[in-house]
Amino acid sequence: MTLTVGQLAPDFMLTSHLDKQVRLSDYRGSVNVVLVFFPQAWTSV
Amino acid sequence: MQAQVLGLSVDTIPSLKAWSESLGGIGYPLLSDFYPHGQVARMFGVLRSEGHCERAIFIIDKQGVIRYIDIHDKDQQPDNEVLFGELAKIAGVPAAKPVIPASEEPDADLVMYCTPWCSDCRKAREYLSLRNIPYVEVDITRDLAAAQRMRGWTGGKQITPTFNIRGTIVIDFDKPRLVELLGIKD
Repeated sequence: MTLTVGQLAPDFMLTSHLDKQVRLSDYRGSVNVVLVFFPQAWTSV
Repeated sequence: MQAQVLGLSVDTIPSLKAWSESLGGIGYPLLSDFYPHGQVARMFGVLRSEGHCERAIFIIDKQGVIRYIDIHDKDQQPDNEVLFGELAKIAGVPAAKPVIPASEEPDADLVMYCTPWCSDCRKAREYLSLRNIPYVEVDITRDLAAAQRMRGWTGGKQITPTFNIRGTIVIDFDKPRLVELLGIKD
């Protein structure tokens, strides 16, 4: 694991299944973010 | 609780859409880390060699700082209560769930700090039981004071199992160290 608690999260921009561009830093100053990585759709999540 | 949930996998957008529909629609964004493949997962250190990502949770506060990291085996489920507890801590508000009273360190020769989902904890339980070694288990997801004690030993990280052998701390399921400290005949 490269990241540790207390570090700034690396920023990224990705497209969502709702066809919106989501940039992590857009939430800065407004809400906490729970970023959930999951292995693969169609498997038990 | 003010928090935005973002799901993220290396699936394509059509695949995520179809999957969301099959589950009756998922309201929070499912992000596609498909191209360049797994780029974000790699940045967060959770891309596995076979190209998928680990099941992992990062809580990022309003300042953009990582406040909580939890990485699971593929077959393990994170515990919602832990997440809500962590979010409450970051938000500086009392958790919605009743706060578990601060508990004392159990008076035992071997105390094992664990979580319900951790596979090394499961291995450690089997290992100790097979050898008839008595131990007291502390579930850090049900005991906030215990979780804080454990973090004090591990430099703030959540590492389970962590053992307290009458004041000697063993971080992780370090078998040779346990054998040495407990005088186990393996």
